[in-house]
Amino acid sequence: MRSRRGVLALLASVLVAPRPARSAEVVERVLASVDGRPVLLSETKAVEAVRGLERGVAIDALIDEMLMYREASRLPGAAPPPEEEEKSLAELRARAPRIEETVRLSDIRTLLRRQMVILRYVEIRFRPQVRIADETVREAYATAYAGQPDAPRFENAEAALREDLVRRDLDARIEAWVRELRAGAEIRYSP
Amino acid sequence: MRRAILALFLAGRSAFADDATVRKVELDLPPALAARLAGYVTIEAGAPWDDAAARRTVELLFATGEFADVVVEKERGPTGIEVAIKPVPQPRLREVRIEGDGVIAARKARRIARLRPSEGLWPRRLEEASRDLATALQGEGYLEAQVTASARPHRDPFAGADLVFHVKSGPRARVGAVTLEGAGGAESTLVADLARPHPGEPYVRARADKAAERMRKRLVGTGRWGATAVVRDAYDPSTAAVTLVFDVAPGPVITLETAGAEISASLREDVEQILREGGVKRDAEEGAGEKVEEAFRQRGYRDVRVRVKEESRSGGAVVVCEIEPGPEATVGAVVVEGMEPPHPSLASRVGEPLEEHKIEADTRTLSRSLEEAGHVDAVVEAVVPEGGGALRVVYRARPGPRTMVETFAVDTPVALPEGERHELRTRAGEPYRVRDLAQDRNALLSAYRDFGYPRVEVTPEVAFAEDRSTARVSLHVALGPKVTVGRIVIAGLEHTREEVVRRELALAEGKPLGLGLLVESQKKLAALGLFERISISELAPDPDPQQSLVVAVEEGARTTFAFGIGSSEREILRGSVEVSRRNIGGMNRTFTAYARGSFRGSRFLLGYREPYLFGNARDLYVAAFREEEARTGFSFTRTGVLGQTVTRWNPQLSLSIRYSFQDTYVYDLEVPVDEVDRQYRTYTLSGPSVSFVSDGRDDSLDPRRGHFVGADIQSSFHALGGASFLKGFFQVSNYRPVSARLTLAVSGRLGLARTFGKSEPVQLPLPERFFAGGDYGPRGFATDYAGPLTLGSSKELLPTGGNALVFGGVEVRYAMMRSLSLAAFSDAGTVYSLVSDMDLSDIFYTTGLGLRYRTPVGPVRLDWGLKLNPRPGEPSYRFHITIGNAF
Repeated sequence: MRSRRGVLALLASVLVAPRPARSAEVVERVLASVDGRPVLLSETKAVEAVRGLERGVAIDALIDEMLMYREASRLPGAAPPPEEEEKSLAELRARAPRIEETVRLSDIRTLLRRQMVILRYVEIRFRPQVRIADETVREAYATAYAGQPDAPRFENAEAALREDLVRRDLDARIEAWVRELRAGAEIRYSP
Repeated sequence: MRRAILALFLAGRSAFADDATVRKVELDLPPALAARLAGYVTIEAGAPWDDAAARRTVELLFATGEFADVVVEKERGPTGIEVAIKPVPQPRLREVRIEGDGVIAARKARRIARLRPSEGLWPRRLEEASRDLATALQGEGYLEAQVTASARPHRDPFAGADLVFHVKSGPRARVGAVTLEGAGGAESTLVADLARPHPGEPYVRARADKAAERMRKRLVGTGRWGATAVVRDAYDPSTAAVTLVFDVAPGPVITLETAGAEISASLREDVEQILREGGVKRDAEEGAGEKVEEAFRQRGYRDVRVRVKEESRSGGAVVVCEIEPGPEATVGAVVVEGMEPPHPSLASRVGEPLEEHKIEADTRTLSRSLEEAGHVDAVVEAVVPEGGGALRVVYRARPGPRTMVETFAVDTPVALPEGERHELRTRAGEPYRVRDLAQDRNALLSAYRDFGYPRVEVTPEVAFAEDRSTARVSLHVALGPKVTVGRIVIAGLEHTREEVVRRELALAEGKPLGLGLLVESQKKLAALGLFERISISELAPDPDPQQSLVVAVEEGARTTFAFGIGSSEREILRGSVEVSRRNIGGMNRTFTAYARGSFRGSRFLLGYREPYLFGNARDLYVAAFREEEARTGFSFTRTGVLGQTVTRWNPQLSLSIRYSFQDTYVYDLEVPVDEVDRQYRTYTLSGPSVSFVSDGRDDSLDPRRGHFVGADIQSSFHALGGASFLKGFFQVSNYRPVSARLTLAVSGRLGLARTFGKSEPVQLPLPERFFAGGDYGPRGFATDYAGPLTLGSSKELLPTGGNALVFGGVEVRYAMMRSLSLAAFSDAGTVYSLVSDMDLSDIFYTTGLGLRYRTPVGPVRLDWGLKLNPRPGEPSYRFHITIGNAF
């Protein structure tokens, strides 16, 4: 009798005892959409991991990239040659040896390819528009080294200053381009 | 953040590998929707977990356009992974509702906001829609109108949402006072009556603007070409009244004067119109000057200078057109140097005015001619002396070396299969032509794109010999990845079943993604007539070897009304109305009710069309009809049913098989009863028919090239309850452009019929007989009169038609202007009572001239036909006015 009671108590304890909680993990979803194309959770996670960005910033970076890539990929010969893609991948592996533990290789390749296509487009579309007048470089020199007794000679600093001005000009043009692309697109963020 | 694309990649962290087996996959949707969309779930129970499959599932389900989000949840259980796919419904538009002030109907609001059926009600769209509606209400006089919009989901979130406009209209503004400023007494009187809206009427801005424009036009009409009229409004919210002020500046009466040379009346009219329409502003003056210069240049005044300026005169103003024509030059001689004859035809002709643009065109023509012969570096220049008179135009050509193609090769890693190859223009042993090489490059690009290489690149390489006499030419093909079609997602369907779209697709899952197939699919979907918008796009922009496609459509209205008005020589004027209910059962089936009426008859028809009979691309059409017609010499009524199936092998070729059962009653007979076999006054037609059509015309209404072949064989048998006869009609037409403006059209028709079941063949029942003559030829005759005639009860000669018809026609159409053409034609043909009576010496010949005016419904045609061998006592000619070509 006692033993039967003991078995019942054991059964009851097994049935009543709280089971370890099973929680479902969201593995994929749509975080935003650009003209009807989804920005996926997995893509965003890949950007977060590869570029070290926060979730919100990564979503916006992906949206910008999708918009730029859509236009850039229309350029004839936009696709980078395979050897260029491999070189870029090797460079990334050298910088981040454990990246493939975090991000699928196919996602890394997609990100690299998109970036190369966009950079190539930027080079063809915007680089030729950049004109830095000698006067502008002199002004930049004057601003950078004003009152510094050990300032380098202008001839020695000119190349670096010019490169910096070109980079800034390109950045401004890219920003304007992205603003224009965003204005023409239907972007929706999921709640 | 924007510069992220230029940033360097940084190191990542944790692991993602997961190879446990999927035990269960659940699609969290209502059963019907889940059954329809289950094909887009690529996560498989029993297979190892795959991140890529989860991603693909989300992409495919999201591409259907039905969801705002698709969440995939994974949960580890004791026996494997359980996957739940939870699509979040999109707030798709169902109904539009108005809340608040009911100053506008929901249907009108929907139209104003351009809301499409089932479109997503996202915050930005709601904002746009409310802005559009507020603007429209303000335009109607609700100047204080405020509109907001919200999406109200239905109880079943998958059933969509209603868009609710919350309208606060405020008071409707009325016009308080209307004043006219700027215009003096006479001008004020002239335009005052045009002011709108009147005091007390609701203020509608568009009416006020229109009134101002009418004032301006009226003043311009009185010679004040520079007149302006604008309207200003001032709104007083306390009284909801608007004060309107029309600012009118009439300006002086202006006339046009020319100095230095005279201009023609038509040119003066054109110039005055330019000045009037442009308000005599600087642009208009420049436009007028250019118009005069162009006219003088066409007459050979190469150095003409025109200056247009406005001058004040007492009582008005004058626009003076100062013309310095310079010397008049004509082409005295045309000489081509440095080129062996024969030369191509040149635009500059001896005796005609010398025009610079023609000389430029000739230079291009000669250069192109040399390039065609292989002179790649050819240069042609025109040398024309200055001044006027008859001038010698010399085209000096420097052809340079002639290059022949020594070798030509296409360097490709994958040769196209036999059926996909195009004949290339560049060939070894032939002259080297840049244009041919460019066309060959494009042909290869298209062929490889159609073969599934969308990113193919073709680069021409040309290696010239030192003396440039030969060239080794090659086209290097870099294929890029071969792309096949992954999944095909159909989006945007409301009533239509998915299979209706899928069966029209030339693209298939797993097959090459060809550009040509994509275009063909789009065309076939458009041809269904069910959709207002169709797009086929790649699901992901990245160049994957397997690309899923999204076919997005937007359905059009299901009930359509069509009204028609037409004219023919017999009926003069006829009207028709057609009501169709389309896409019945979502299967593109159509029910049609049609009625047509004219002074000569009527037709009522109920029809039903099934485009896919027994699952095949075969059309079935069944109809019941009743018609009544008054013909020359008799009338008839006909009631019947028919069933027809059409097989279309391609857009040009089709075969239809038909069964008809119809009762016809012939009455009002004016021809002698002897002409009609008594048993045929009321007769039944019952039997199968077959028709074959090959239609290769470029434009079915007004063709310029192509062909049309039609053959129709109709039968009726006593055993099937009808009269026994067999009737065949054959027609062949061909169209060919002779030059840019000239088209040659030829046509032939043959009709043969005989009766059975009697001791010898007799004529068919009157309504079934062939008739000839009229606007469809031969055109020297009135309708039906080219054939046997008999004296009717009214003592007039009447056509009796017959069992055989022959007709042949040729027509030359010359396009004089964009819409107007001139035609010359010759027709020959007649009708014979019986086939055994056929004798080519009885044929009637007619010839004539015509005018055609092109309209969207076909050319309006005026023909004058002259009989070349008229019968005694007959009029020798006939006019015809109708719509559509004779053939």
